[in-house]
Amino acid sequence: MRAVGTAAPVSPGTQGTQGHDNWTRALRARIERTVPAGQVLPDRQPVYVASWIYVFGVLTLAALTVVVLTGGLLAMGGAAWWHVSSLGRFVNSLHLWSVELFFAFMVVHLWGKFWMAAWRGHRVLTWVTGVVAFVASIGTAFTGYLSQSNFDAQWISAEAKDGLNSIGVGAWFNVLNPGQMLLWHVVLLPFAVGVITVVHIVLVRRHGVVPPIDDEGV
Amino acid sequence: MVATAAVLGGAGHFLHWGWFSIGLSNLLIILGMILLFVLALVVPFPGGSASDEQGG
Repeated sequence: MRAVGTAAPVSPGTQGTQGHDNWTRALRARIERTVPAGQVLPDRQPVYVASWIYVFGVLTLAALTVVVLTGGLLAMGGAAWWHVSSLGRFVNSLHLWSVELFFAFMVVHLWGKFWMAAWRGHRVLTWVTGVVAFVASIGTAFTGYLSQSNFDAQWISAEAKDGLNSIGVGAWFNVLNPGQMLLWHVVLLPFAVGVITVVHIVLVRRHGVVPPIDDEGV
Repeated sequence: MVATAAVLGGAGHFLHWGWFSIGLSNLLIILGMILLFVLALVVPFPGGSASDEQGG
């Protein structure tokens, strides 16, 4: 560190361009490299994106937004609220049906990306993060069924116990423990889904939307 | 209301083909998603243009 008064003057326009000698500059440079300038929220897309099959990714995101918002309301009200009050049952239904739409849109998105081999053009990590998001979402939905605090939840957990133990993952969590499953449902798994979704979207913005197979030169 | 709850809460209809069986409601949802997929491929997208890029 230079002594005060002996440092060479640095004009504002040159700051940040002199190597990565501190973590702030390194992180900023990494962010700037990750998504090219102008691609974070682009207002123009290649012409092949003008197809309904390209809409299902953002439909999945829209459904996920409703899932998170209604889940937050359910967390505020608690089990007694979503079981006995009209408004609570309504929000509970919104949470369920937004999850149903979330999975339906995500599966159609998956079919579309599979048949257009969307891992082409250095997009393997985009595909893999999508798969991980799908698996994490299944776990989140499953623990949601276990957190209903009704006889359905009890029956599902008892049936799932044997299947999960048979594949050797029963040591890591206990589906018969409703408190543990509720915390996995509202904290751990939504955090995992949220992080992997952000990474997935950043990768889509970084590499662009995959072109159709017969239009690869676009 | 009670009748509706009884129908929705019932065991449901299952279809069997040899070793394979599936709930009717699950089958209808899967067929609906396949239909949605096909429609997404063939239905024209509004505002599509012939230029290389378009506003999105």
